[in-house]
Amino acid sequence: MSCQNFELLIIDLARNQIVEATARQSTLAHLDTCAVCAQRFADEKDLTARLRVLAAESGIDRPSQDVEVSLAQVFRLMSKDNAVATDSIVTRRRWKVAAVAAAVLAVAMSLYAFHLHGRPSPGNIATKHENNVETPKKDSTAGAPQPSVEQNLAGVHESRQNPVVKHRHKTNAALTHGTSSTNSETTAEFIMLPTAGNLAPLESGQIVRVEVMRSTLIAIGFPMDAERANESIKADLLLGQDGVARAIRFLQ
Amino acid sequence: MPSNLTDCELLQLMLSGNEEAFTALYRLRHINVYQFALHMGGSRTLAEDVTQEVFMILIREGRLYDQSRGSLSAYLCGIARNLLLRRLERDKVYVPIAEDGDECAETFDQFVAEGDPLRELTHNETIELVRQAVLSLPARYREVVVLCDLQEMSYIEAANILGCAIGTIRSRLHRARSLLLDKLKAAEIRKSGAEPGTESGIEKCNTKRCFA
Repeated sequence: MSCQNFELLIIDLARNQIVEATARQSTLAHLDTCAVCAQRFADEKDLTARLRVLAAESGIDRPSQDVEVSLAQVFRLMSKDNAVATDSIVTRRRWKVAAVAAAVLAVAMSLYAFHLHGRPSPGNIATKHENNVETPKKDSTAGAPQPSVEQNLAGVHESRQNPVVKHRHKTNAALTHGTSSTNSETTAEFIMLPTAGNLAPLESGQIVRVEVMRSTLIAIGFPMDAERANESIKADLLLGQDGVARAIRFLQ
Repeated sequence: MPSNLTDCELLQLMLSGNEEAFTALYRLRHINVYQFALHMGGSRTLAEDVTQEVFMILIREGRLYDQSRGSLSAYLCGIARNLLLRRLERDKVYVPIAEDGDECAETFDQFVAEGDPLRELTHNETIELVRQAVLSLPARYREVVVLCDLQEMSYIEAANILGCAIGTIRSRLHRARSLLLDKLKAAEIRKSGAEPGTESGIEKCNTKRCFA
């Protein structure tokens, strides 16, 4: 091995790094023949030893505890800020989703209403008139007993006191209260919803066909079979002029 | 916090706001960063500042860490290196005042002899000599010595931190060690030349100890 080749390996050897066995042997053999390289190797080994002493000496040095404490405080603050920022983003997104959902629902309901009222057929001409439950305006009926929706919805008071659904099987032709989209459906009487008592008097309204979960009806106070709570039931909702449901009737 | 979590898992937990994960990560990795900064800058205050700043960056921008590009330790040391080079460049124009500062007190603390005073003093002198020699190296050589010799990292790890080829690390280390040897020899000659009339190193040390 030449001195030049020895120079390539001297650092790794002096630092006790892994060197190929044959290269190691030839390098060490070169040390026996070249005094300059042997001296150089001794210097390098001495330097390595000194550097290791320095490393060991300063290895026990640690930053003060204050650094960790202050970093933990910063972390807490920044996590809080991030959480607030994330929350506000999520809230904004939720509002957007809710707005879109409301818009879609409104469109769907108006289409459905249009479908109900916009296509008269011989079978449901009477129903169409009934759907637009109008009560006379107060001005035009001053002094006279004010007709209310209860007059149109016979049995509502009864049902409110005793909210047991009284099914009344009717044919389409005999319908006086309620509507039916198909001839095979039978309807019950309208029942005032428990929440409707505090609302403004009904001036005009609209009937909307919906499917309601039985569990929901149980929750608002209707006596339903708890075993079938997961099933849905078809019903007509009477919405007031403010869009809030006043009464419900069930379909079979 | 389970102790078998990897750095990446801890980082992910930390980024999701887990303070325990942050503390665990800090305790695992701060020593490397601190030691690197201490050897590069030669000041405890600077090393603490840099360590704090590195972990602040990790808190703020930890999402930027890419596991495929190297270990988290290398990533942190890389940040520390950039901060240090910037600080050292900025502070180059200032001259330290050594009389009353804390750094001076720290230096004196190192020379408080325990046990065999002569041996202790020689030991301290040797360490200080090597420390000063390392600190006097140009930054590009110093960082290689610090990473490979003082922190005993592999060439690959050092190359990851410094963002250069392994061959570059090897050649810089070679050059750095040659410079170090020259500096240490020069310092020893200077020391012996500064005290004419003395014949051995022990006598020189004794003289120094009397002043200390």
